[in-house]
Amino acid sequence: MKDIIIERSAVNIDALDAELRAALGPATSGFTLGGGKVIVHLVDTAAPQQENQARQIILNHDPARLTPEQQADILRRAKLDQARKDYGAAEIDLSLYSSQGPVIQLLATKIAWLEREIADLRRA
Amino acid sequence: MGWSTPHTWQSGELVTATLLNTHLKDNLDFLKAPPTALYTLNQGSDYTTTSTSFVDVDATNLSLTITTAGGDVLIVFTGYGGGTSRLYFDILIDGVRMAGDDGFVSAVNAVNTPVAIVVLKQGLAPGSHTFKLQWKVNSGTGTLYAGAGTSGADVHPQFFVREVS
Repeated sequence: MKDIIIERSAVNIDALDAELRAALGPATSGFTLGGGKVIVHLVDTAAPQQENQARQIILNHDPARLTPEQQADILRRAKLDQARKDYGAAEIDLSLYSSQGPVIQLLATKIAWLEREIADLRRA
Repeated sequence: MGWSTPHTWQSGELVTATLLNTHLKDNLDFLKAPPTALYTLNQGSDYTTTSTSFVDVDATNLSLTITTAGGDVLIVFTGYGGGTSRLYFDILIDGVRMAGDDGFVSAVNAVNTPVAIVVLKQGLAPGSHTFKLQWKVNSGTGTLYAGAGTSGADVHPQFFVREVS
């Protein structure tokens, strides 16, 4: 195993790992972060060009640049936060469904029950 | 003073100060303070890895060297950490992984858990030996908390080795 060590503490771990694997493929097993250093682990057969590539990736790494998964996660959380603001303040009002048919009333009752179960889980 | 193989006394042998000092005093001194090395983490940042092969957690601080008289060495690591998937730990002795395969222990999937390794390396030859803590993940990211002030996880892992025979 060859280690490329560069002093750097602020990294986006998921993004840097994805960048390294995309560029180096099986030549890297990943990296370790600690003590203000990034240590990229390369296989013994890694070429000097791949060592330089690893160095450049770390030096040029922008921790503010998110992976598609991180962007999707932020979007998902934003949607959930908005839904909580829009609908989470109070339980469903069953009286609004009293004039509906029995199937809709049963559905509303079930939703009220699920709201209580979820609230209980979030309190735990 | 190091360890000397205890003298086998002969009937009628003159007991000298040199013999007593070498085989009694020095050996008792050795047993009282056997070769030991330890490091307790109190770092500026926690450790993180994405490596899917075993690598050093910290090649400087979690690398302990002792000079043994030959025999068994107790190796202990205790810490707290976990991974987004599975996180594995092993011990490297003089460049050779002790457990092999997926190591000695694995943190529970996607949960931070106590990590403890208490193992005995038997039959080490006399001389200098270096012990390192290694780790890997099967995917994702692994974290070992290192007394770095992380809220709720400001714990201080310890790694030590001691000759015990």
